[in-house]
Amino acid sequence: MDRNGKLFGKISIFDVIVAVLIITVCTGVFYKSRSEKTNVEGGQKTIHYTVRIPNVRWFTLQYYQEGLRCFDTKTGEEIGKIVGVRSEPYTDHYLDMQGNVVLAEVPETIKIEVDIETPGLETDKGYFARGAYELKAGSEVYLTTKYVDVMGFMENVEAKAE
Amino acid sequence: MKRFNALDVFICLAIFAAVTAAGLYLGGNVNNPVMASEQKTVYFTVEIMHTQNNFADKIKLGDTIEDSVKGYYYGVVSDIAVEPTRIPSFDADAGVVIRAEVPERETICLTVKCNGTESDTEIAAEGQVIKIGKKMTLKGKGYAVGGYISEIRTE
Repeated sequence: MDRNGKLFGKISIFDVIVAVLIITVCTGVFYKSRSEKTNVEGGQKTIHYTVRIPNVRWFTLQYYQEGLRCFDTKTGEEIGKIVGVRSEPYTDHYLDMQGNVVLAEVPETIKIEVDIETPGLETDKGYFARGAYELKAGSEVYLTTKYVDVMGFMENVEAKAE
Repeated sequence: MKRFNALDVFICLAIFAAVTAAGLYLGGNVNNPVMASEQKTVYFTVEIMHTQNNFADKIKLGDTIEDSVKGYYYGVVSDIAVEPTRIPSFDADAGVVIRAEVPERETICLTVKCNGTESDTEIAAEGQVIKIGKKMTLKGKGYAVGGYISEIRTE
């Protein structure tokens, strides 16, 4: 490096530092986005999962419709399309006068189960919608459709071969 | 004048790529392009629970409705329905849950008619995206109410 701070008299040391930083960041982003998708099994698949939405008013059922696109509320990422909807009365636990826990149906309230399908990947580590959004049974899902923003619980994640 | 070297060009391209990526991320997901919206008349109903008896008398059909906190204009009152407020209550003797009427409290279902848009992914009333279950704080002339959207329809 010469006394002007240039390597070989031509390249500014500052330029070199910035270039190294940029390459490092890009490499890190690349590997972070791919780190969970090792050992992809069988290529692109249709991932099928169910979201359980407990304790909603009965009249909201009409807003869960087959064909509606679903998005993650927090990231805006599309996570599939509704392919099935089921509902049943919502029940909850209460204590009776004898101190027993009883399961009682809550009037005008239902539990909704929504079946969703999305193109995705199955790897040895899990299932990913559109390659990036991990689907895990038991996790909370913040779901947005055309009509609703709702929190539910993911269940029954499985892959279907194309 | 100092000439650009290859490293300067690389840095400029990298910065341009980063700014473009940030713009795409903030402006809209590249995998989910913004769908075209259709102009519609939008009706949304807000369920306002636990109001004092006869509070609904303050609300008139045709009242202008705005967001009580941010001042957005929504539209006008197109329908008002009132019923006693009922809440789930456990009858410990019978072991069942009933919907018990709350004395001296009413539930107002307030329907607002707005100019809006409907697309494949959302419905907006005067530019504000609305969803079932969204909490709304509304005001009209001389009153303010709060509740959750229970119904949305378009025509």
